[in-house]
Amino acid sequence: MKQLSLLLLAFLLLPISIAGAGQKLTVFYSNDVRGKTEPCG
Amino acid sequence: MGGLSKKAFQIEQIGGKADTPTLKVDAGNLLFEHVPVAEQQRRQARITALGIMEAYRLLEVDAVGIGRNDLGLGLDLLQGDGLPFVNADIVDKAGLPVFKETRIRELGSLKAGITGLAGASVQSLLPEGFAVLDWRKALPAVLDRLRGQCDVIVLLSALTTQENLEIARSHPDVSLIFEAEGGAGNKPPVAVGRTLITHVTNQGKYLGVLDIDWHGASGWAGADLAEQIRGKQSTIDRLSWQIRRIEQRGAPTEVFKSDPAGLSAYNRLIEQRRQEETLLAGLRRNAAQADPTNPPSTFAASFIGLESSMPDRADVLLITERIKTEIAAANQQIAAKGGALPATPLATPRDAGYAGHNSCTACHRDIAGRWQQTRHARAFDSLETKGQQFNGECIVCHVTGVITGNEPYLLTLPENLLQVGCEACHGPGLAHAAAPESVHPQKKPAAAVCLRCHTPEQDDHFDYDRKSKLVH
Repeated sequence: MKQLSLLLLAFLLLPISIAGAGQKLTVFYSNDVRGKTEPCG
Repeated sequence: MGGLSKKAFQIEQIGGKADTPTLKVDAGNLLFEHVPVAEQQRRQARITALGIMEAYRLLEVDAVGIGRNDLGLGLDLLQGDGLPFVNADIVDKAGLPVFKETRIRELGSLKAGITGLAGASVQSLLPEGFAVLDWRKALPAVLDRLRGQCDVIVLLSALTTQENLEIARSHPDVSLIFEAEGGAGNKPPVAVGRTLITHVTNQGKYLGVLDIDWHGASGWAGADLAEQIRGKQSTIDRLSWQIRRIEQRGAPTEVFKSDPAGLSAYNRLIEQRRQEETLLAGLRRNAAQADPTNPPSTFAASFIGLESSMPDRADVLLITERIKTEIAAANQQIAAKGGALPATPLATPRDAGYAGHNSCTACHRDIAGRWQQTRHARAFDSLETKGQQFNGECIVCHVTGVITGNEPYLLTLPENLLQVGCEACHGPGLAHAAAPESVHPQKKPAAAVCLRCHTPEQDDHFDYDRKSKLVH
């Protein structure tokens, strides 16, 4: 009975844990470099 | 500030440490400072563009958008090098896309679909027969293809900010827009509906880093939404204050009657305020629509200033050093021929009436002594220190006697026209030196003279009233 309760609890909590876990990612971005490879002086 | 090798080092360091997947993109306007490229600058521009593309291959950039400043030497340069350009609105004579319209990258459990738009402003730079499609036609077809197979849709856009806002409103399945024409300054990500829009200031001085926690394309909430609203409001307040200061002097068309640069700066402020107000309205809508039961994706953004003291990635540094060496060799050849290119009649500084600072010192000894203490008096030396004294893009703001179009001649200047001397600000002095009583140069140069070099890109906080007092 206890095992069944635990199983039920896990089943109920599952959607919450899925909803809370996002996929992390890092984006590096740039634009308008305009031919500049380094500062002039 | 800035530099490819420093950017590469930061990407390697942060990306290497992170246990999250990374996406590396450049929204465009990568290759050329000025377009179209002037005849006398073509060789230098080509060396630089090829070098940048080589460095980007080493960085393993995932996608690069195309903007006006990538089309300085035609389309061929972009097609054959293996850089992952992405563009959906440039088509050839048969109406077929010139570049790959989309690129798909797997990021952990996600698939990111990336596309790019160049916008109508590139039309004049395309070869005959090639065309730019209206994004309203080009984008929906591409999105239809990406929608089914990607979780995140990314747009690299060289359209105007106003057009990007329109895309955010009309195509909410575009989750991220990286801008290539977003104006001066870093623009922290702003959520407009379900789309996040951002851009980095120009000339490669910063690297944008966006850490995302993706929960689906239902929308964004920076944990700092309230903070964003406050920041946006304070930007609008600052712009309004600047605008009011100008308008208190009278009608801007009258105040700037003989100063077109001033009028155009005023108009830019008005346009910037309008854009900021649109973004603020979007933020307020997002705050009002927040739904606690359906968690949105979150983000944290930062702009890494690429300071000169930062380390370089060695293999990219080798490329930037080689670019300098190749440019120096090419431009020294031009200098050896007296600075003139075939079929390019050039005015020399002497022709244009420049005398050189020694000539001024003979009478204005005190002023010349004070000038010697300033950075203007060491402007050319600073180029030599960096090995950039043959760089045609740099030299114009580090010497005296610039006439647009005569840049190659600047490589052959005499000693007393090197550095930013008296005549760089007061104008040519040969006639004044010959007849000091009857010919008088401009006593206090207008702000527009300083702004030719102290541009927002080169001098973020240039203040004419304060800085002009420090010159001598």
